[in-house]
Amino acid sequence: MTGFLGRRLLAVVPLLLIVTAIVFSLILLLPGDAAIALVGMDNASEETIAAIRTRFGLDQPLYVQYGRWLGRALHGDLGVSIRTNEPVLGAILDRLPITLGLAIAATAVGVVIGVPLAVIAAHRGGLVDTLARGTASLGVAMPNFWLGGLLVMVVALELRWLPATGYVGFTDDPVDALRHFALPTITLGASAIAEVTRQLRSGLLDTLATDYIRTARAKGLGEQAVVSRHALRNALIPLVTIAALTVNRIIGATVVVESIFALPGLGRLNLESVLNRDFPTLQGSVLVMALIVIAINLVSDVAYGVVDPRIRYR
Amino acid sequence: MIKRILAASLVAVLLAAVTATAQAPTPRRGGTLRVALRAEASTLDPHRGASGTDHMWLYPIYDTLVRFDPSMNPQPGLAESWEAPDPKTLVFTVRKGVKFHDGTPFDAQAVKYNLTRAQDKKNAVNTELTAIEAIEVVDPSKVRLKLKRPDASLILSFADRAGMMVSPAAAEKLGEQFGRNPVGAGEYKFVKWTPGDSVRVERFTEYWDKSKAYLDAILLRSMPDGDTRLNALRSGQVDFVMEIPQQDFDALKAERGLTTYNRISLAYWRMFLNMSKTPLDKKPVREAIAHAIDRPAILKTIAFGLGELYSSPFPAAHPAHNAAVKPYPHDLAKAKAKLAEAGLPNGFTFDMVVEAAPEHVRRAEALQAQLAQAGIKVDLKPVELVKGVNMMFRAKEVMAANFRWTGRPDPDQTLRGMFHSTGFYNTGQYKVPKFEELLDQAVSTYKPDERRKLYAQIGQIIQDEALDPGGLFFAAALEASSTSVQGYQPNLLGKPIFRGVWLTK
Repeated sequence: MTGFLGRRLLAVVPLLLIVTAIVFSLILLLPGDAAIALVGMDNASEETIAAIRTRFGLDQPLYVQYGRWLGRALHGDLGVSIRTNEPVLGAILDRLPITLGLAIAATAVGVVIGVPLAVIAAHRGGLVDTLARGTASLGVAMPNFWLGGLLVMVVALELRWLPATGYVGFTDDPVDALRHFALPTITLGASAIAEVTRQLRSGLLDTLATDYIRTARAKGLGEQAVVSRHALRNALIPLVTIAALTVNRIIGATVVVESIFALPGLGRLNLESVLNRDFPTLQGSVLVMALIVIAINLVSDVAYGVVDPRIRYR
Repeated sequence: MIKRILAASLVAVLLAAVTATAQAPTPRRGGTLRVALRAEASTLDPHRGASGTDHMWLYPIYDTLVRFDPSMNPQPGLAESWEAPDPKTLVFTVRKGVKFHDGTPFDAQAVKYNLTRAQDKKNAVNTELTAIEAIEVVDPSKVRLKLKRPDASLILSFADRAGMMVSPAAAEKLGEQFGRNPVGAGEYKFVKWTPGDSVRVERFTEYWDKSKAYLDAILLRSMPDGDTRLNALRSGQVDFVMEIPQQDFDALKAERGLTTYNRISLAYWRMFLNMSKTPLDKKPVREAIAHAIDRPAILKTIAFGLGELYSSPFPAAHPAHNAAVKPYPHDLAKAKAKLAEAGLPNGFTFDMVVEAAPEHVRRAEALQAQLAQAGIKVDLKPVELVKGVNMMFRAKEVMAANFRWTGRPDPDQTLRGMFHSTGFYNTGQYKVPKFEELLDQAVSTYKPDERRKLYAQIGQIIQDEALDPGGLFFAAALEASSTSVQGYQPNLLGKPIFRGVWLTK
């Protein structure tokens, strides 16, 4: 187990190098100059612009910029935002809890609703199955920005049940915080529900057709025990994979959803730093997002063993 | 008969009374005004920031030396009065008994500290203060500015970022941290900045002018998406939103419970031209462009009629506007005649950059189609904005750009920037000596009436010399609030100030 974890952690190093190098070179493709974007369209003198370039090292070749950034990042210093002059790490840590909270809540919604739906669909078959599969397909197909807009229109503007936008800190007012989190969570959770239902349903169907289930039934076990104790346990492996993939996808989707609901999370920080050509912030937040995805993958690898004791790590 | 007249007049008096009370309800104290803005402040340090969207976050916290009225006429602020004993000297008398939020007294010494701070080369705002040679404290309530050259535009610069007064004690103590912990002398003091979300300010109880500070607090939120801002307003989460998408404005006007504001701003859409490149260096060619454009059609179809037709670089409500200068009439025959006069009977081709977003490309394509009717072909280059600015004003590799002039507080800044041979936005450094002479004259006098007369003459020259043939229309600043918001006055700068705003509930 320790050896396995060690090797996995070691493999993270080249992965991170590749991710950060790609982001650095993508910045080259972005049109516009960070220094000019910073001083605005205004009549800033060439000296002012040159001074900004020197200050942020933008006058250096890209590989030098990358090297310097990497060196500092290893010491936990992600640089200073070009737009606000504030440390990038601070800005990321301010916003991280919102994005993580949102991703975890949406995935939880996906699992809590998706698992029973999958069990019912796989077990009952017929109309229920068709309905569940149809809903799931719809959920996968609906884009976040569309569903988010629809929810705002109906639930917030027409019915006035929940707030349309905004953010309230959990420590300031827990109830109000949950109300503000509800719609974005549903928006992100809808596709999670769909994904979980679809995958787990087919996994369950496969398992329910195996010999040992037939044996369990033959020895007179009730249906509930068959499904929950025998079939579900074995169908959980794909669920772990789906859950991990879903969290990762949701973290990406926060870029859009946090903007629709005006939530100050990491996704919006990403979007704003692209719009402002704030390269240090963009670089830092992409790095943190990559770290999160890698961590989740690692956790899911370990979780396989917990869910299925047959899996051994070497 | 007499009875009827009496009855009628009684009705009239009653009606007048009713409308009068409806128009002027008594302001009420209290409440929190919640505002949705597009972009978050880059910093709350007025001298450090460069972003044009920071103002709305700064106005409540910082009082300015000078204020402006809705038409951009200078008014007393922290400076009670000012005079120019000679064109190269300005003396400001500052208000007594004013305090910063941290208790530091505001006086002439504080003004000197602030102006010196703003002049620092690493602050973008220093470019507005280059005329200042020396800042002298005459006595605790008098500051004398010695200038290198006469510069009347300083007055309105002091109504902008450069005139926002920070607490010297706090600025010294906090250093680089000041931008996150701002201390000013404005109506509201800073309470909390939730990064990416909001800034909260609360009434400063010791503010010198209590007559208009009605609100208990203001919460400024950032919401980059236009639909999100509208949703927040409609669902009652904010009370005021700015930068409403044009296409949504008509529908919004009809909605109950909302008040809409449509105010012309100083910003206008135009073609920036490199007038040193042939054939744009020829006046008849520029006149041909001016007459080939159907401005009313563009305003109606592209801007949904929300704006004011261009006739000179200032809208009708601005003191520098010259009403005698009329918009160029759309006249294809005249345009063709002018081209023939310039020796180009078959027209010519030029390239033009435009921001690569549907609304901007649509406008440029309309221009392209109209100019084509006169035989002028436009080679459109949609690019990202910052890149386009670079191509036009720095690399100077294209002949034209269809951008928006964002407007400046003082007319000199606008005219010098776009038409003076030293102006950054006069890409070709095209020079009209008579224009520059008048411009220097106008900036050398501090008397508003004299300046107004000179700017009227300049407006005529701009048309006579066809210096701005591609001026299209002044953009409307579109805002909306819930009906509980009262007392809001839009201004020509298009950047909302919430002084005097109160809430009915």
